[in-house]
Amino acid sequence: MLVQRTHPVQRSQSAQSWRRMRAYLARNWPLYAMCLPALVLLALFSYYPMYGVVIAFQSYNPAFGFTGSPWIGLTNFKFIFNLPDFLQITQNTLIIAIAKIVSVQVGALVLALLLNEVRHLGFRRVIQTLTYLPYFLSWVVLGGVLLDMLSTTGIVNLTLQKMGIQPIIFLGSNDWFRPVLIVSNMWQQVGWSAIIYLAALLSISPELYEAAAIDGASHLQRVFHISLPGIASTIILLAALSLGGVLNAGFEQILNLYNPVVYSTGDILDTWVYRAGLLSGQLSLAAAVGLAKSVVSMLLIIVAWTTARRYAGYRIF
Amino acid sequence: MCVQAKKHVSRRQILKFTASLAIGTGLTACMPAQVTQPTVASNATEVPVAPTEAGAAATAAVMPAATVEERLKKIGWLPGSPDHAKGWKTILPEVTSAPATEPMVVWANKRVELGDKISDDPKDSPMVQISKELFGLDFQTKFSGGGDDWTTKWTLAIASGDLPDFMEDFPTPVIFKQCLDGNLLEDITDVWEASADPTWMKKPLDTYLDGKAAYVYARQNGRLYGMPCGNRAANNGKLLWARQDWLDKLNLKMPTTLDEVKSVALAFQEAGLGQGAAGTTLGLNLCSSFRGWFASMDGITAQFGVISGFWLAQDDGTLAFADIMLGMKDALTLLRDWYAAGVIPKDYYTVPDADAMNKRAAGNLAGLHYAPAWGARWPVEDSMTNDPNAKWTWAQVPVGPSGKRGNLGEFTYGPGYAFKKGFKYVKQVMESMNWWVSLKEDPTKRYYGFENYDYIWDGDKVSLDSTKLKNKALGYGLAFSRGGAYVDIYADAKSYDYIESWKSIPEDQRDAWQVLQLDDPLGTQTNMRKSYSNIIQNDKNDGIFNKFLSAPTTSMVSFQTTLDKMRDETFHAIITGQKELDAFDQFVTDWKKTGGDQITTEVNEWYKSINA
Repeated sequence: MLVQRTHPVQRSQSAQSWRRMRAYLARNWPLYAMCLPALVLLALFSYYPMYGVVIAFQSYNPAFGFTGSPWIGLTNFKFIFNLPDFLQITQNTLIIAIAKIVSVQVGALVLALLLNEVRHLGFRRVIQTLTYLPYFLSWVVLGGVLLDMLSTTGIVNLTLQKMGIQPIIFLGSNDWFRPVLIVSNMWQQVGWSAIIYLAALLSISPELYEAAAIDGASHLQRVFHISLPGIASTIILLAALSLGGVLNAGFEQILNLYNPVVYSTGDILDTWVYRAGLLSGQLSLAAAVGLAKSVVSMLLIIVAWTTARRYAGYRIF
Repeated sequence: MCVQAKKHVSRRQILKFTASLAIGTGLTACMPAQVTQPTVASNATEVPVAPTEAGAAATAAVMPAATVEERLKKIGWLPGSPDHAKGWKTILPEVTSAPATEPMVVWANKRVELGDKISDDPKDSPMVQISKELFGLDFQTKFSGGGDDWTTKWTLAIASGDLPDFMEDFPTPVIFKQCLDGNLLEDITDVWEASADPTWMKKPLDTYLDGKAAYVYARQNGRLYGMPCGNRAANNGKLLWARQDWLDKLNLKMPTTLDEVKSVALAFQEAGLGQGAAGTTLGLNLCSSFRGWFASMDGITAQFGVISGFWLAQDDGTLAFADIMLGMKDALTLLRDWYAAGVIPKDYYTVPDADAMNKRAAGNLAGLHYAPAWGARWPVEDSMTNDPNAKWTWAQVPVGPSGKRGNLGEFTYGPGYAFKKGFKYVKQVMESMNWWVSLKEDPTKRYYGFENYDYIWDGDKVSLDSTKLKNKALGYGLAFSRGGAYVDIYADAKSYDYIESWKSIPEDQRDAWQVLQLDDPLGTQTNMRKSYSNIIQNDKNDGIFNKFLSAPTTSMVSFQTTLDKMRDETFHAIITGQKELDAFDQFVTDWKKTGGDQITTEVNEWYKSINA
């Protein structure tokens, strides 16, 4: 039998820290007790369901459940990575998502800068409201509207025809599908995203602008030398945080707009999972793609957080 | 000092108080689970009340005097309107099964879609009330739903082991297979052999195609796990519909060959007869589906002997996949030519079937489309509302260069109705189904439902005005399947023939229902009845049938999404001219490599096993 010998000083040290801990708890236990319900909820509804991720490694049949379904290890993942269209859908996802992130952030920044220059408060509010309203419309509705507008007999093509341009099948052309996605997404998102930039711009002291104006700086010079540097940390922060969404190319939007002809430029991970997982009932396969996506997204979020901390001094924890 | 201490204590007290409050709230939040237990128990104690009810019903059944009609009258659910001057009498089948001796609760499920006017109160349901009175069966709803939720609800029911006793409408074949693999379904082979009605249940199934097809889905290793239920015949078989007034205006004949379809479509388009802006008239209305229910391509590909997604019997006794057969290449060649010539809409592949129907056909943008027999009413009625001059006509699908006509013969039977493993009253439920099916599928019994629920009296006339009717009530089982499903898939056609036969009755002697059915100023109803029988009559010669009637094989489940995507991409690219015709050969090679060969082997193993 081994007796753990501890140094008297060490023991007294640990005893001391234990005593301190007890005193701390005796004093602060109510605070911890108040956290408890939230922790229980978190564990019950966020962590416990994660257990279901095991079906990514199983050939899942709901009749056998999580515990009884046959275990097939990494077969689902191998299957996905060997799919002939895996490369294509990953590429589409990345291209569309990155284009969307860049377009929305740049668009929002420009919009915010423009709105910031507007002196008439009423006009500014109206524009701001109008630009962020589309954010609240579902893509099911927007999709229907766009399908109609962009059809060969829709308003866009009729206008083009009047101008002597041949009708373009926007949603059926691999050249046009991505631009349509990106522009329509920008139209929907830009007003909403501009709010944060506007808030940051408003926090810049007006004295700086006044001083610059007195020194003879033009509007453009004020934008480049005061506004932009003033919100640089916000820009970096938002850009870094959006990295986590690089694998989310906008499922709802694409599902409502795409068709087989534009699969080669428009089919993304989520739409593929939807067809394979939900329509064909391959829950395991869908879970495997979801898990792979989550892992990549987590890595990206870690990178983003580190970047944000280093360059924008932003910390969450 | 004293004040300080007090202050200190009060802060701690506040903290403690808040904390205990939080814990208390947490605990009370958990409480209801315990509190509800007594209610659950009281629900359970309510069940024993039922025996007296059922016992009463049983003693009533023993009394020889009460006929079925008297018993239904007693509970106020007699179908038909025998007492009305212009009414009719529903002939009720006899009840042959032994009276119930115990309360029999049957948990069932029901598919309802958004927009269905349905009451789920069992008191409102003639089916539930009559089944209780005549058979002692107490139907209860375990879950109902529709759309995407339907699959989710099923998956949850399977995962939680809480399936209904009597199951309706498996949302996908995969779900049925999961239930079978999980050993969750009752083997009903023996009860079926002993109790299913020979005329109304067995005969239609035993005489359909080779006598096996109807059962294939629900049978595994020679045992039956479901009561098959089919789609009504000719629901998807196509006819060519054309604007008669446009044909007359241009002095054209109804097309009988694909070449004529092309020339008529181009003539319509050139003349710009559509209702839309100039230059928006379409030739042949076509949507993106290769096989579907409206404006799909199957009416065209069938002329080349193929229908996308079907497994077709070959001369050597094997099954082959239609999408990779040479006939498909020929069909694509024709469609490609049509697309280039402007016969079919330039954006057809972005148009869903519903839009082709509700926007383009009903909006009078196109004068030609392929649609099933029900096309006599939809979208024709809407088209006539939008343009009072619109007049539609139909003909059999025009033939291709081979001269051999083909048509979609999709008369499939699904797994139908299954029972939960261990359910005790399979025999009793089946006997009640015998009764209901023989009542509803035999036109000569003259069952049209219940006054105020299915029709309403308006003086001497009956009306089907849905705004005045009470909400329809839930019904369960074969005779209450959704979407025109039947045991005898020809039941509908038979009833149409029966209605046509009323035309020989002198007008003043017709009852209100006959007047209603024959009152058809637009001619769409008569047209529909005629077009139905036309498809059914011709189907024996023209029908192209899918011979693979089973839940998907293992490889199908794995590769279907990829293969479908490959097909959709390639075929549309060929038709629209984005790819050369040779892309088809590449597609066939890729299809075989990417799991297609495996699927073919599995399908043929299955085919051999059912023909053994």
